[in-house]
Amino acid sequence: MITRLQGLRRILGTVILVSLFSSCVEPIEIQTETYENALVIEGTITDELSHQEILISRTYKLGETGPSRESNATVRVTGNSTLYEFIEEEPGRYLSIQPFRAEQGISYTLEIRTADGKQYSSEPEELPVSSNISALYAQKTTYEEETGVAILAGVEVSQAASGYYLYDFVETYKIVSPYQINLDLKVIDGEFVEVEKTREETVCYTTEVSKEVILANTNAQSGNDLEANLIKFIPGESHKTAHRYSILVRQFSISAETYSYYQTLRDFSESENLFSQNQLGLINGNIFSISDPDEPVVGIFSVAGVSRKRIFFNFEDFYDRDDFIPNAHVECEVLFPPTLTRSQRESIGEQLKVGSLKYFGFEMGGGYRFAKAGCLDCTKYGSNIAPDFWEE
Amino acid sequence: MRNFLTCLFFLIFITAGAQNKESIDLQFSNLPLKEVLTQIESETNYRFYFNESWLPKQLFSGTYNDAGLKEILNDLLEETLLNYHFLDDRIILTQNSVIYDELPENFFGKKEVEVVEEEEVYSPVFYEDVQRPAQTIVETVNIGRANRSSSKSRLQLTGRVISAEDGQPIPNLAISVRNSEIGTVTDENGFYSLRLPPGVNIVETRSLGNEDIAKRVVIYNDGQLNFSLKEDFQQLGEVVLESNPDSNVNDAGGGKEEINVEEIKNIPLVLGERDILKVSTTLPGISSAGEGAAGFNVRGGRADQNLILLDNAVIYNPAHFFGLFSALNPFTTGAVDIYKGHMPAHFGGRLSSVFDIRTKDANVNEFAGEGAIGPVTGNLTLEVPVIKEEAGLLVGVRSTYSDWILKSLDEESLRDNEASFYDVVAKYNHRIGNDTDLDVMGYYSNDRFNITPDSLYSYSNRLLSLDLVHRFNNRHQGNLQVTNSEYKFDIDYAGEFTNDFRSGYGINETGVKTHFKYKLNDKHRLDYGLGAKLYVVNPGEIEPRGESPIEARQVPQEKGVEAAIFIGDDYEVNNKFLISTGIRFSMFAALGEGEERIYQEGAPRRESSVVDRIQYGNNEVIKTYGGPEIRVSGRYLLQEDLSVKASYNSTYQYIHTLSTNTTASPTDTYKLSDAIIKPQQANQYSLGLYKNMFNNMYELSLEGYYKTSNDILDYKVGAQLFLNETIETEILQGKGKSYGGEFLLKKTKGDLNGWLSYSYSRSFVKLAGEFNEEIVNNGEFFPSNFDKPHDFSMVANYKFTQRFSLSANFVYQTGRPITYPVGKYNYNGAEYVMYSDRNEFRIPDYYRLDLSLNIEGNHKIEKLAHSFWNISVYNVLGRNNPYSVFFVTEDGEVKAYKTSIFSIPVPTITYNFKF
Repeated sequence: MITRLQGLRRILGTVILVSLFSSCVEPIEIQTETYENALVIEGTITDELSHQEILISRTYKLGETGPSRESNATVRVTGNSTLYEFIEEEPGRYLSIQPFRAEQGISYTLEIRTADGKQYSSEPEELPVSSNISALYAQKTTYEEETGVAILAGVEVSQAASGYYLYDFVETYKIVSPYQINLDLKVIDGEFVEVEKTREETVCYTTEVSKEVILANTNAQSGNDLEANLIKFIPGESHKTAHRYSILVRQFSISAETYSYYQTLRDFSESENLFSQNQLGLINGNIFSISDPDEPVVGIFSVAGVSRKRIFFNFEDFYDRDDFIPNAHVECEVLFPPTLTRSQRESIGEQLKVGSLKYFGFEMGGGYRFAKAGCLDCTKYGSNIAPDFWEE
Repeated sequence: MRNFLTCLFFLIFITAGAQNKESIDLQFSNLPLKEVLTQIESETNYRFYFNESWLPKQLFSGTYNDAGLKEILNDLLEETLLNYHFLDDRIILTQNSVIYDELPENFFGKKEVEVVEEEEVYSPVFYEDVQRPAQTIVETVNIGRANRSSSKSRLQLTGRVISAEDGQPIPNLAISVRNSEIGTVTDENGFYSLRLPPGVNIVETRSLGNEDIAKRVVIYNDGQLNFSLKEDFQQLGEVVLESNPDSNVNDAGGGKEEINVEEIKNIPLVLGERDILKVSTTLPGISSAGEGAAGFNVRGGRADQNLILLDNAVIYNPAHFFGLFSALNPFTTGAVDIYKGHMPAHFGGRLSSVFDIRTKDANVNEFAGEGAIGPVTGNLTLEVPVIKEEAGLLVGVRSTYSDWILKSLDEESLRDNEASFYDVVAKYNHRIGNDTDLDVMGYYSNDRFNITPDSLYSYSNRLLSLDLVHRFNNRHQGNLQVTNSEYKFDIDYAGEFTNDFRSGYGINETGVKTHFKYKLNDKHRLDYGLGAKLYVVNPGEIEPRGESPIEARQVPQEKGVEAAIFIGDDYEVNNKFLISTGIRFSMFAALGEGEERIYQEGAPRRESSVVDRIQYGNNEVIKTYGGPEIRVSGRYLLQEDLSVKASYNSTYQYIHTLSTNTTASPTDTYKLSDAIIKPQQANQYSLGLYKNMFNNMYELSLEGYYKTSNDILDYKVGAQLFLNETIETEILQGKGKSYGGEFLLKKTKGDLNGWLSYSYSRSFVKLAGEFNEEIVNNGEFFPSNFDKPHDFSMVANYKFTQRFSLSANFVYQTGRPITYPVGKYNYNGAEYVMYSDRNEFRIPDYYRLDLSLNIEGNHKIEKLAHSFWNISVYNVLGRNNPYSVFFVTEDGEVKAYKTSIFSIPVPTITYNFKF
């Protein structure tokens, strides 16, 4: 929470200025001043029995979009005398051939040899004493002047636990197409023909993974229990909670060094205080190049205990639909394109076929109505099959 | 310039001449001169300007019908030492001197004060009281009243010499004029007579059994001068206190800057706040990291290497509002001396510089006040005499009303906010008898800001200082200083889900210092003394608020004693060569109660590599450091107004700022040296050339320096410093190196005055530890955060009438170095940028022009208060100077932003008044 506070401090600086002075923060074009090619390694071995995963990529130029996967590397993890070999499942994603779990008291080391023959190794890491999520719950609250639902996690901590936690989550929520009609339109020989829809396009399920670094620690706690770590806040207007929402939270019990790495990563990527800036630099992880000790390597290899929990809730659990209508997941307007000539109809037929437009019925006097496909077909945004874990 | 000045004098002459013809009727009998003058004022439009103490006690009578004013004044002043001069509708009375409407031919040379030896018909005496040759300090006496018609080549000086002890005449005493053949001997009644050329003569007495005395006699006409000599075998020169315009050339130490607060009042302001520290950054060698950044970098030193003293007490954070304003009240501040090169031995404790700021003395004769109303603050200063002629109290209060502005805003999100500051300073000065002065000063500043409703930040400085000066005799003076300073900040946090807490930091130091000055003889002046300081640091504490599960925790207190003994000697080897030597032996002891952690050899310092912990009891010495600090500086006069100075200075610093920011911030903390963190040390070599021109109207200096420092502090990337109990695991100590050349041209007098300054300077840091995490930029020297090679400033003030003046301020600086990303990568589901070597890039160059128009209210005596309007436009060119460029990850994508502080012209109006 000290770290959260530093975040606020930065916001604060900005607001003071905006409110009192003529200062400004303005977005600028990213310019590539220079480029340094470095290996990026993201690897966490957990205490869950699974095919453990190591991601390897490279840095890319500032103006480009990534990622830049690193293929054909030899990846292995040694734990005491045991060797776990990895194979490349898809570009840059390496999975252990055998499933295994990290165990207490064993030092694990990651070793990588890239296709260009360079060798990398991590410092030995051990599994910290881990803790479980004691509770995961949603709570209606006001956060930064907005009303919404906060997803909070509590931790039940044993005495010996490291006390450092990293979270990630996967959220899955139900979306309902704003416009619903059971008919599709086809163009056959230049004429519109209505046909019955053959699949579900009204209710879908969207899944998103977290992109933030979410951390918590028990350093400043009187007891070891963390009761309310904010995992995510969803404003009431959000389309995510407009119907039914589920979130799976994973808690990684990590070492102090790993915590510090992620904390720095987060601090360096947050908005700055106008008046005082962080001293930036290469964040030191625990992976180094054997071939060239001066070569910068990005990333950290960690061993973590995992605990996971999932919850579900409905819009009505927290809000009343009479009070306000949440945003839709898509903005829609009804279109009346000209359909008089054959070529106009065929052009529409083409758009219907590629799925950029959808049929929204025929209006007497108005003609054929259409809308952006996403307004009628929720599969544009998610799957129309409820995931296995879904509970209604 | 010369033509221009002549032109102005000519104009004055014309106007004076034009109004000269007026004639009046006047009658008075047995009136003091002042009343006669008042009567003249009431009859005419003229106003008299004079120093009341000059007026003779005698009474005047006279009757004039349709008489010219000149005629009346000639009669009135006949028997006095006074002369008069017409200037527009003003008549200025002067003692001794005649004000000449035009300058003599050789005025703009250095030699105009020389005695005119040859027979000349017209040889006016031009003498400026404040100017004197450097060699010895002698009293100046003015003899006779200058007479416009006087054209004598020799003037008669007569007088009597008596013993100071018994009043008996001293016969057979040799009286001579320095550098001339003129001389005589007193007769048996102590009388003497000399024929002197008009102008300046140094009259010396020489005898056995009496002190030898020298007086600078400025002779305008025949007159008298009596001497009273003490029986003494030593020479006793009188110490004349006067402002010294030759100091640029004559002082032994180089790299000293003086700022007089009165002189900066016209300089354009940011949001109407007159700011003495901001002005200092327009001088070469002093800069700040950026516009609105707190902290100063002096000759490539970090912001924590400046000893900022307010009446001898250390002020830890002299900034309000992050750094936009300085925390020094401009109305109570008298003067600032900045030592950036040679540091006198009685100062110590910081590596780079001393900002010696003094609060002005209160008026002991009459009640006075001054105030200002600007867009951000209101300011009121009162001076109250407590004991007439002896003691006075000065109180200055400054406060923002931004709080009120925020509250009156319609914007709901801002209405609950707080952003305010105030500072209060009070000083009591008491002259006890002729030889003792007592000053007591108290200061408090406070900043509070709160923008989101859940956190409130506040910080405060509190200073107390006592300064007792006693003159034991004419040669020996002692000074006792007792000071206490405290700096604190607090963070109050009341969030929604996370746990509410209050956390804070505090440092308190108490110091005692004695400082004696002893004039051994004409050649040697000694400075000696000792001082000690006790530091108590509360490095951080946190406590829960309400039902928060936060555990109350306090990082163990740090304690340390810093002590120093110093002796210095200003040795005048000969007329040209002055050497100022000093040695300061400083030591520091880190005291318990505390814990010393021993880290595993050959492994980076981490919490996991602690192998042993040694506990120390209360006041037990954990570690001591110390060493000699050499302060040597020499001046050699190449010509009377041209000198060369060289100096070597070494310094130690036992207290360090902890900050992971590139610029100073109110939440930076201070840490004492301990078993692991060594004191910082620096050596500076400097060489300079100083020249005064045109009667000290222009001052020119050219200086170069080279500085090395050891064990300066830096931090591991991403260090967490606050509330960290094992802070040494985050700290790196490395080397610093800086060098530069500084040019300063000042025009000190005239309607157009100001200065041009340029410096080329570089500043580097080298962090080459043993382990990867302790190495920055491959262990090579890299530019420091405030390395700005080119720095040009111009401050100009042009007074075009008595009431209107225009000021301009122009700054150009190389952009400061920043750490720019060298690539992007994907991690943890989002894009991030990769940073590599520090400070490889620079933000664009900085430039800014400010203008201000100053309007003085009229000077009618009846008016309750004198007023002064300042209309400023900051950043007239509207230059959008980037302050920083930064990269953030938003929704998993990297975005770049640029910030600037004042991107458009900012106009402000300030109203100042004085009563």
